[in-house]
Order: sequence, then C-alpha cells, then structure tokens
Amino acid sequence: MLTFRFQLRLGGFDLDAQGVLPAQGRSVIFGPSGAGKTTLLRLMAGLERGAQARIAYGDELWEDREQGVRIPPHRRRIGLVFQHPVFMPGCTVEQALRYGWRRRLPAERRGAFAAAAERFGLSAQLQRRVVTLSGGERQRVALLRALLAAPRLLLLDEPFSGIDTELRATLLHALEALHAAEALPMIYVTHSAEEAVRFADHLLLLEAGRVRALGPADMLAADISLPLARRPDAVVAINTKFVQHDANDGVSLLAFSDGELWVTASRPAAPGARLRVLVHARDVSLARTRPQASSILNVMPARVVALAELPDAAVVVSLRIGNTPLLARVSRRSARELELQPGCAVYAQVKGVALQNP
Amino acid sequence: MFDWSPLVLSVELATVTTFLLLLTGIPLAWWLVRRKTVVRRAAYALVALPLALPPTVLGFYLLLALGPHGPLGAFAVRWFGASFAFTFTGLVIASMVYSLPLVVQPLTSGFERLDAHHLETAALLGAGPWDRLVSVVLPLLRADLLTAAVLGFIHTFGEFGVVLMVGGDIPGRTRVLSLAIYDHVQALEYHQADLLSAVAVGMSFTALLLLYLITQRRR
Amino acid sequence: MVVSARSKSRRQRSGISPRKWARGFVGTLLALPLAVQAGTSVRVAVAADFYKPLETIAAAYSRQSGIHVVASAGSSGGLYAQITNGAPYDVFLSANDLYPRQLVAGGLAESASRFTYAQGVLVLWGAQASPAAGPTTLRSAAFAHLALANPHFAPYGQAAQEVLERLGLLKQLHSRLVFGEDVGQALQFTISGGAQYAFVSSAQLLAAGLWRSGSHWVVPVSLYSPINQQAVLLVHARNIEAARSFLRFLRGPARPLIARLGYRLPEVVKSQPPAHR
Repeated sequence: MLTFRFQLRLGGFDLDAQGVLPAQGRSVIFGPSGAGKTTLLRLMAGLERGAQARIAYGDELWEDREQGVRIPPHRRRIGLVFQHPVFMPGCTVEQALRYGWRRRLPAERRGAFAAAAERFGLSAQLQRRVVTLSGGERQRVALLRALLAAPRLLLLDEPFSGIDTELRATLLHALEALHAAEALPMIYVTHSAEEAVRFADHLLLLEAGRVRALGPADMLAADISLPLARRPDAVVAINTKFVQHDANDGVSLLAFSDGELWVTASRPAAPGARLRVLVHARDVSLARTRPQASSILNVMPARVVALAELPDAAVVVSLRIGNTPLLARVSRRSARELELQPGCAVYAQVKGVALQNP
Repeated sequence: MFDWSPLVLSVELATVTTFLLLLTGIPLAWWLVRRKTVVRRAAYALVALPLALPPTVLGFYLLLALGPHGPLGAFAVRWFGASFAFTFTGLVIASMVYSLPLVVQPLTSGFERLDAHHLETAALLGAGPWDRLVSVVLPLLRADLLTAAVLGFIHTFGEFGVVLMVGGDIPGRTRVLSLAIYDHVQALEYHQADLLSAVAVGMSFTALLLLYLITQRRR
Repeated sequence: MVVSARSKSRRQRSGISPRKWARGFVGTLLALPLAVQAGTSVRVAVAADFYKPLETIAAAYSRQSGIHVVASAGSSGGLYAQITNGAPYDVFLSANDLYPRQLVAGGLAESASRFTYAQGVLVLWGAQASPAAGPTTLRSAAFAHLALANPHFAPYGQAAQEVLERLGLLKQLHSRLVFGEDVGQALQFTISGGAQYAFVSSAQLLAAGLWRSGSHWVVPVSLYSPINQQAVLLVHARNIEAARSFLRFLRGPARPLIARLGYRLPEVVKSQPPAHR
C-alpha cells in the first residue's frame, strides 16, 4: 500500500490530496492540465519540499513532516521517468543507461545489462550520443535507464505525450508487457482518458489539486457521476481472455467474465492470453428488443444502471452486462423514445470494428 | 643574477589561494543559490563586498585581524607561536578574502543555470548528494569552474594593495611580483620593472586567452 | 527603393539611434570638469610625509602673499614618475635628494632652484611603553617584527638600514625586518600591531600625536647620513613668479615652522639670486 497525505501551496496553486494506492499493479493519476498531477507525482517521489507531507510505502515511512522523518529520494529505490527526460550533455546511450545500473548492488540488478538493452531494441544505439536520437528513442532510453536502477516502484509522468500516436501505442504496449513480465508496480500520470482507462488497474482522478475519486479503474470509468464517463471520448476497459481465432473472417473470439466479444484481429493471440479491450461509449448503441439481422457482431443483454444528461443533446447511459460495467452514449431523443430508465433491460450493441485490441 | 623569487612567490600565492577558494567556494556558492532567503542574499552581498573596498583599506583591516591583537592573529599566536602578519600564510588568507567574489560569482551563476532536473534524475537513479556533486554538478559546471579558477588566479596574481599592507614586502617571503615591480619603479630601475611587468602581463593574457578559447568553443 | 525607405523609418522609430548614443557620450565627457581653475596659485607635488607640514606652511604663506597653494601628495618616486610624464606641477618637494637631482639632470627642473628645505629626523618608535624603544631593545631582539621604509628607494629606509649596520645588528635582525613603501606604511604596521617597532620620522609622530604614546628613541645623527629633503622648481611651471616666491618663503620665513614640526634645519647656504628666465 502506498499511503499518502499531501498539502502544498505553490505560487497560486493549492494541493490537498490524500489516499491509498495499491503497491501492486498499475495505478494511473488522471486529470485535466493544471490539476496538479505532476506535482502529486513529484511529491510521491520526494522531489518537492516545503509541503505538509506524510507518505508511507508498505511499512516504510518515507516522509512525515510532523515527526520530522524524511527519507531522501535517492534512498527510496523508486524510478521516475519525466515527460522530457534530461541527459548529461554529450553522453552516449550506454553512458546514460549505466548511470543507474552502476549504482545498484550487483545482487539487486535486474538481469544482464546487454540483455536489457536488447529487449528494448537499443543494442545498436549504445554508442550513439543521446542528442542524436529521436523523441521516441530518447524516451525508451530514459525508461530503460530507470529500470536498470532496479526500482521497486516506477513513476511515469506523461512519458509518451510528445510522441506520435502510433509510436505511443507501441511504447505503451511495451510498458504493459514489462509490467506483466517483471510485476513492477507503476504509477502513471496522463491527461488522456483513453490511456488512463487502458493502462490502469487503479485510478486516481485529480481535479484542481483535490482527489475527486480513487478506486478500481473499471468502476470509476463507468461511473457517470464522474467527469471521465461524461467525456465525448468516454471509454471502458474489459479484461478478456483469448478463446479462438477465425483466419478467414479475420476475427478473434474473446471471453470475459460475463460474456464474449468478437474482435477484428489479423492474427491469433497466444491461447489463453489475457487481453484488455477498450470499448468507447460512442461505439455502443442500445435497443429495447433484440435486433435481428444486424451488421453488428456483438449484441448482449444489459441492464441500465443510471443515466445522465450531457451538453449537446446527448445522454450517457451506465450499463451492466452481468457485473461488467459498460457505457453507451446516445442522443437525448433516442433516450426519450426508448424510454430508458434505471433498471430497464436493453440490448447493447458494440460495433465489432470499433473494439480496440491493444 | 636577476631575482625571480617575486614571480615564483606570486605564482605560489595565486595557486594556493585559487585552490583553497575553489574548495570553499563551491559549497558556499551552492548554499547561496539553493534558497532565496534574506539571510542568503545578505551573505551574497557580503561575498561581493571586497570588490567595492579600496584594496589598501581592505588590507589594513585584514592586517589588524591577522596581527597579534586581532582575532585570527591571536589564535595563531596561541597555536603556532606567531601571528599571521607578514607571513605567506597571512597573504593566502588575505588573498582569499580579496579574490573571493571572483571565484564565487561564476560559480553561483553556473549553479543558477543548472537545470534541477539533472539532479532529480540522478537522485532517482540512486545518487546521493556527494555523488550528485561529483558526477553531475561538476561536469555540468566545467566552464564555470574554469572561469572561477582563472579569474581567481589572475586576480590574486595581480594583487597589490592588500599584499602591500599585509605582507611587509619581505624578500623571498612576501615580496610578490606586483610589489617588486612597484619597488623597481620607485627606485627608478625601469628596466627591471619593464621585465617583470612584461612577464606578468604575458602570463595573465595567456591565461585569459586560453580561458575564453576553451569556454567559448562550447557554443 | 520602397524597402530601404521603410527600414530606415523603422530604425528611426525604434528609439535611440547610434547618432544620439554618440552624442550622449561626447556630451557627458565634455561636461566633466577638466582644467584646474586658473588664477594665482602654486601647484606643489609634495612627498607624503611632508604633506601635513606643508598645509601649515601653505596657510602661513597664503596669509602673507595672498597666493593659494594647491598640494598633491604621493610617494616621491610616484610623483617623480608623474612629473617625467608631464604632470602639471610648478614645484616638487621630495623626501630625498635623488629625484630632484634626476629631474635637473633630465632638464625638467631648474638647477639653481634646488635646495634642501628640511632634514629628516629618524626615530625608532614602539607602540608599547616597554620594552622601551632603543639600542638595548634592538640588541635584545626580543620582538617579532621591526618595520622600516624600503631601503631600496625610500630615504628613511636607507637611513634606518645604515643605523642597523652601524650598530652591527643588520645580520641579526634581518629576518625580523618588514618593509613598507614609505615611513607612513612602516608606522601603520606598528599601529596595527603586526610590527612591534618601526623606524619612522619625528614629523610623522608629531603629526599623528604619537610622540607621547608608546616609547621612542631619537636616533643620534652620527649613526646615519643626513636625510636631505630637497625642493626644486619645475621647468614647465605655469606661474613661475608665484612658484619662486613660494620657494623663497620655504627657504626663509618657513624655517622656524619646519623645525617646530619635527625636522632638522640645514645650515643656511648663501642663496644665489636665481637666474631670470
């Protein structure tokens, strides 16, 4: 458990946040720009001073201003990847990577240096100067550098924000794979709702320096009292397991706890592979009766839990398929004509093409 | 045989003073820059003060402090049997006060320009404070360190008023180059004065030229 | 061309033009006070140790003649260097005879005008009353430092060195010697406590009011060659008549004053009437 309580006044900005994050898994701090996400992350890392702070990791008290206890950042065994990483001028990739590596006891080092570089696709770049690399490559170096210092917890501050979408997806995937392989707990900061929902097991919503909500990601994403679900790009994640693949039609069958989904896929995944799937609210349409002969592959019975009016004549509907939360975004007119109410039974249609396969 | 001992003395004095000033100046500059409290700003003004004082005035008060009745001198008498007045050590102490601003100012300027992210990154990769100083700060501040060293050296090398008051112009002990030149001029020995002056100017100019060549190249 | 006209007007509108800048610079320079006031005055370059006595003498002279004396003090060597480089003085009062001789030899001063206006009195002074300053204390060598003016070029320093030689103490005390640029500095070394004793001039001690404090030993004249402080008229003097009149005053009516201020008086030499220029 990471227990924290921070109070900080910085210029005109005022932060008062407290909460508990699990020490395992992937937590995401999400909020609009200026909410204080970076500040919160820095406070967790111990980089901000002058705050009323209390933070404990498991049974290690990292800082308690009142008791006058403070473990400096370099002794907390955590890593942090900045949004714009810095490197010593003129240093090579290898020199950068070795900085943290050298400072860990041999027993603590994760695997072999060369193998790690290989895994990140940086073996060929080792002798190049970091300044000559592209943004994406530099972030990879920063990430590997942090990992080679053998942290127990990895903090990331919008590490892929300056990178184009395609590359970003790849890097995020690599990060997920890393987490799966090493079981390294991560706290990730982003202002992208999709990234947040995709990546998070646990979500912390930060607004104007205050914690708006803190809890399991799938619950929070579907909670229509929170701004996350009310966004036009509202999205929900569903954890699935791969079942089978149909090469002719180019689709895969994925099973989740309360049903099955057909997803466009070019190749089969490994049998039994765990895949997290994103479903955008705008890709879910509703019907009172089961539609016959529809082009939509995925039609599932669901129960309406709650509705909320949105600006621009839209309504967001919070649904449950069994216990799995789902969001649908419909027009006000449709909601009225379908007489949607909490508790009523509907059929949710999820466009197969719209499912995003990570 | 021409007496080169003043030149040797000046080089020794400048070297020892600069070395000691770097050792004390780096932590001092760091401390001055870390937080902007009123106390620290006052300290910064104090550091710059020797620049504003006439050297003979500064020299006179240093002599008082270093002599047997002054705070530093009395301490020396108790521990070493003699005060610092008219000794090479006394000159080093006086020169350290006199050249302090020229060493500290390039360092504070360098520290202010230092991107805190470098230090934060290093800390989060496991580097403690001393480690960060040696592996991050000093390499990043190479140009400023060099500037501080060279300016401190030539400032001490060319020092006159302070050395005049504190040193006693003792041949082989405190008669540094600047005093020797002055003495030759007073004695109408212009030839010797010219010779020593040429050496002094040549050395200082070379040092400065090298400094600017090295530091400007990094643009 | 349209383009250049536009860029020219932009430059004018941008504020301070280079021409304005240059004008401001030159204007400031011209506004600085330049020449000394003209009129009847005598400009005297005086050795530092005679500055205070000169003030008194100049006041008396002004009262008598109505001519104003403007004095600039410095080390004799420094003033000499300035004079040889065209410094605008009328009269030079040195602390020795070397520089006036050199100026005459160099054609910058009038030979016939050179004379000894005072003879320095060497005094050994100590800030403490005891051990008392004197030959016994010197022989005992029971002190850390002895200050004197640099014998290489300062007249009082040369005299002090002579005294030590005649007493046979130069070798013994050599390591304790501390050298000032002039007697003024030698005295400062003693006041600050760095040096316990100093060879200074009696005029200095009188002027500083230190005659009665500490201890002193007026060194017998037999122990050192006379310190002849000489004055000379400079060739490029502006007010030759006024300068000559001042020198006459210095040579005549000022003598009792000079003696009272702590100097010895040279024998009166029958002065030859200066050749008219």
